Amino acid sequence: MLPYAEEDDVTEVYGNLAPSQKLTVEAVGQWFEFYQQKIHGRQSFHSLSAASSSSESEEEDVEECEDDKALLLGLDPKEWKKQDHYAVLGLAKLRYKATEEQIKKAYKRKVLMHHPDKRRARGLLVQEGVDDYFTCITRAYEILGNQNKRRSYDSVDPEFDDSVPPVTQENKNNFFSLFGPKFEMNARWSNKRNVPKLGDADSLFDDVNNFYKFWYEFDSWREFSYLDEEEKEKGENREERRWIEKQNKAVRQKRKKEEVLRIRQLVDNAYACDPRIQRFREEEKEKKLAHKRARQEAARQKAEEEERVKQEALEEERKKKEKEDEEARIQAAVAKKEKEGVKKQLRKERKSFRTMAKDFDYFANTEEERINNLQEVDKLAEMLALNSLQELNESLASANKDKAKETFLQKVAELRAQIEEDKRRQLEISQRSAGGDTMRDKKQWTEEELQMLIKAVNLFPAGTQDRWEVIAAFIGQHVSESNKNARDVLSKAKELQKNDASLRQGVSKQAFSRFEKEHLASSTAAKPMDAPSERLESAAEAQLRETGTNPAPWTTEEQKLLEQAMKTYGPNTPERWECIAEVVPNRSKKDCMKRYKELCELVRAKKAAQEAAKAKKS
Amino acid sequence: MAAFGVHFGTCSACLAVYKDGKTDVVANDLGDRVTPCVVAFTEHEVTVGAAAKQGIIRNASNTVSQVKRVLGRNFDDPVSQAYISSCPVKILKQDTTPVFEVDCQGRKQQIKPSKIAEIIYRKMLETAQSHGGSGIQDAVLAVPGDFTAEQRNAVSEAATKAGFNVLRVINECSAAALAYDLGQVDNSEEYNVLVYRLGGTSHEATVLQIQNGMYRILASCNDHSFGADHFTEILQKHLASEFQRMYRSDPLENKRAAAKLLLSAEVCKHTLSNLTNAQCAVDSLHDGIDFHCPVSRARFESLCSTILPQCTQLIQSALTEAVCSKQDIMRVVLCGGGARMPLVQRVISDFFPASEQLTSVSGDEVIAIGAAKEAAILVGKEDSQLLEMENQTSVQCLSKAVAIRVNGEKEDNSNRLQVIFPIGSLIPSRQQHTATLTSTQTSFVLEVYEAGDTDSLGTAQKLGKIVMRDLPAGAVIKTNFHLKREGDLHITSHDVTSGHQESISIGASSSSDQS
Repeated sequence: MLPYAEEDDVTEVYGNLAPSQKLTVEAVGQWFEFYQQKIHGRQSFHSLSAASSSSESEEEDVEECEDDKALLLGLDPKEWKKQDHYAVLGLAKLRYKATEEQIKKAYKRKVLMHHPDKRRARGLLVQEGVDDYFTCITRAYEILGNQNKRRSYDSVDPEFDDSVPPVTQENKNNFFSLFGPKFEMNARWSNKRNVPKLGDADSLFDDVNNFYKFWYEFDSWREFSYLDEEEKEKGENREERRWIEKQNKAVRQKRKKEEVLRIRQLVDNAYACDPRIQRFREEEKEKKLAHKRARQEAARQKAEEEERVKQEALEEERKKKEKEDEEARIQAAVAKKEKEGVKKQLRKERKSFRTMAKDFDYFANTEEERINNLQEVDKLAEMLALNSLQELNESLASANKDKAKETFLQKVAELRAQIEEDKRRQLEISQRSAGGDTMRDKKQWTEEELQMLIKAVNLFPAGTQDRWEVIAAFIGQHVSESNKNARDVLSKAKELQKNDASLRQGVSKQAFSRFEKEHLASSTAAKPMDAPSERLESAAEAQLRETGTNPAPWTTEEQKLLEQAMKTYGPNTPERWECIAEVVPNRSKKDCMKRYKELCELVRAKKAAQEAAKAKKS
Repeated sequence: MAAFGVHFGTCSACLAVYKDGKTDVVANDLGDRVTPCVVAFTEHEVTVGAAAKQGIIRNASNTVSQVKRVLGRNFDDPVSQAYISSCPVKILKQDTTPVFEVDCQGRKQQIKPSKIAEIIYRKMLETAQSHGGSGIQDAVLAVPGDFTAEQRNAVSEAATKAGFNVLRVINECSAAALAYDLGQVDNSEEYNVLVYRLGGTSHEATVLQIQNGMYRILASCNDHSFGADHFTEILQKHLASEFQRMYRSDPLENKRAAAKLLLSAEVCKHTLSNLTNAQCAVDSLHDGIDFHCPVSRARFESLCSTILPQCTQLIQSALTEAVCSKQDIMRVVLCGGGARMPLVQRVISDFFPASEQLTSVSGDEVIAIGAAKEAAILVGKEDSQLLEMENQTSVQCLSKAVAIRVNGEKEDNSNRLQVIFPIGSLIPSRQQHTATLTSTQTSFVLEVYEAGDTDSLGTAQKLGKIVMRDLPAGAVIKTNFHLKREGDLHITSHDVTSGHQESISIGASSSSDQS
């Protein structure tokens, strides 16, 4: 009993409900499951919703049942296979989305409206038996009411768009709006639930990958038994039925194959159009490139580092060297200074010695002795080393006249002895070296052999294999008594080469004169030959005799002798150059002087060059 | 499809199957309906169940029993420590978890509790496969209410490794209630249930509120220091004293004799649950003496009377925690092996004289059966959905009842409230109300109230009203109340004959709202 409405009562709302409370319950029981289903709205629990009608009243059916009489009347019951079953039941809008419940309801409503008995009761015209359009309704329900048959009908639903968008630039631009719905539409054929969505431009790589993986392995339930040309049941006997089945199977398989190809094509096209794939590829490429670049960069840096280290090492070395040079230079300067200092002192000492000697009246009693002593003093002053000179000076300074004289004489005697000694030693050395020469040349070269040697050297030029052996053999062949081996030949040839061309000329001249002589005395017995050493010596001597000079270049031995001689005979020595020339064999006074001048020139030039360099440096 | 419920208890495990609309316990290969949770490692093999339990006399140091007490617990946990001190098997500490060290096939092996659980679950799977065919079986596991998330995980992992597809892990008390289909047939029932579980080594009392077909735990008390094993020990001591009285020697001095006597006492205890007299017979118990002693149920009950108050104490503390009295408990569910003892049942029925005691299902099987029923509900659902729901254990309820004001039949009681949505109604839900106007009535007002106490109008809060006028006489007014998911209430009244309709929408209050 609801109360009466008062005069001023109007429909209105005063307030809100009190806040709801949250209770924690045990996750057990069907009602808990049911509640969770309802909250999360995944699937409707048909079995439970029936039981729970008290709390869950039926959902209002949204779809209105449009009663298209014209459509129904236009149906041909014989052509039931071609009819749109959903349209017949008035579910054209819902189609495959219609639930079993809805189909059942729609069918019931249609039956109420169109059953022949009902129509007859309304006084409408009804055709006899199967010709009436009502059979179409029952057929439709037969198909849609059965899960399997409905599936096969859904599979060939004429409303389904089988088209596959081609790969074009436009499709690429509208990729998501075009392919998204396409995939969603095709997803209904999937055997698996939770079909991955196409996603959007910002989808992650994994999602996209997953999506294409799913679609490339698409497992479809779509089948084409509805399009079977002949029904198996129509066969009259077993064989025929079997044949029909076989035929149908082949056709179904073919269609299924086409379907698979279609899906494949769709996915392929989508893959080709997908801007994300493009992007991922580029990203991948970029990544690889970046990686490569990084590697190159690392290599370059490493090389640079190495180069730098190398440069540093070089720099260090250079600095070190510079430092060393500097040190050497300083040392040299110090040495020079020292030397100069010594020289100066020496000069001073000499001077003091001379004055002292003068003071002592040259330790002489007689004039002759004085001259002699004068000479000796000079000699001493020149020849004595600094410290001995100092000693002498000291001893002279401290001593009285007699004693000084004694010391002086003693010194002179010592000096003389020393000079003698030096001379003797020098001579010995030169003799020894000469002797060494002859020792080495103990195998005497005959004229013939020499000639053969020269000939052979010309015959076998440098580069001939085993040249010296060949030459030795050649000489051995032509001079029967020759006993020269390759080494002898080589040393001789070198010696010859070293000597001036004039020497060779001399040899050939000698040979020529001998040849003439031989010609002259061809009938007489051959004259005994001169010793070759004599001849060789005489070549230089002859030259010396003829021109007064020996144009042959100075050997190191001669040079040494010259220097020694020049030391022995100081610049004050009378007849100096004669003495020097005597010491140096085979050289005249002229030769020696010339050589000295040359050397002086050389030294001067060298000094000048050094000074120039120094000036340049500073 | 077969769905299984597995109860893996401290002392024994039980497997139940839901198949063809029925639930039943699956007997193991020995024909026993429960399998002892004992795993024995011997020289040759690993044995599980009754065989392992028999061998405990000779192979105590390699026989692991009551593994559930340490499963998923830390080594330093007091419950673990109590177990470790009493366990004959050597237990080592590995990281923070305990591991058993046993001689298996001639080698020292370290075995984790989860591995033991896995072995037992594998045994259960073998039993399950005799019903459900080979392969993985769907199962719901039941665990005690005080299990932590790690323990639940450990149990779930062990079962998964053994080859079960674990649909869900539920509480034992809920499983027991579910076994009796409490609140499942009619979800409008609303009452409180006490679930008392007397397990092997622990007991637990839980007060469940059943509303809208859902179970809500109001209070739960458990005690790990008391269990059905205490009854066995008392009987064992009694038998030992009998032996001593007869032969002047104490069998408990001998470890092996003590073990034998304990097994025998357990058999006696089981027998006494069904019969009034039992014979304890142990050959060559001690000093080569064959021991034989009859025990009557009355004797056993008088022995145990000293420890029985512990049961009622726990129940009382649970009631106190739930803030309800004995009279609020409509039903009492007994579960656990100890609940099979007639004296326990009697003590509890004495404690709850007005309540209905549910003992028709054997105490050690009831949990497994409940789990199997839950498995039947869950089987066939997607895993992801199951996982999601397991975590969604909260429901939205109305905190106040929604009612309308109606005129009573009598003139004096004109301001009566008719409840549409009672307190605790789930959101969303729908209700319909139909009223027929009297022949003179052409208008009505439908006033909607919200009240904590629906008996009086005084405290009720008016939420809104629907007014319709100029109605034909004797009009039938149908009103739909739709409590939406978002929490707002839509009310639509319409006159069936004329088709006029009027509707209001009462919003849900956010927490900031005054109302």
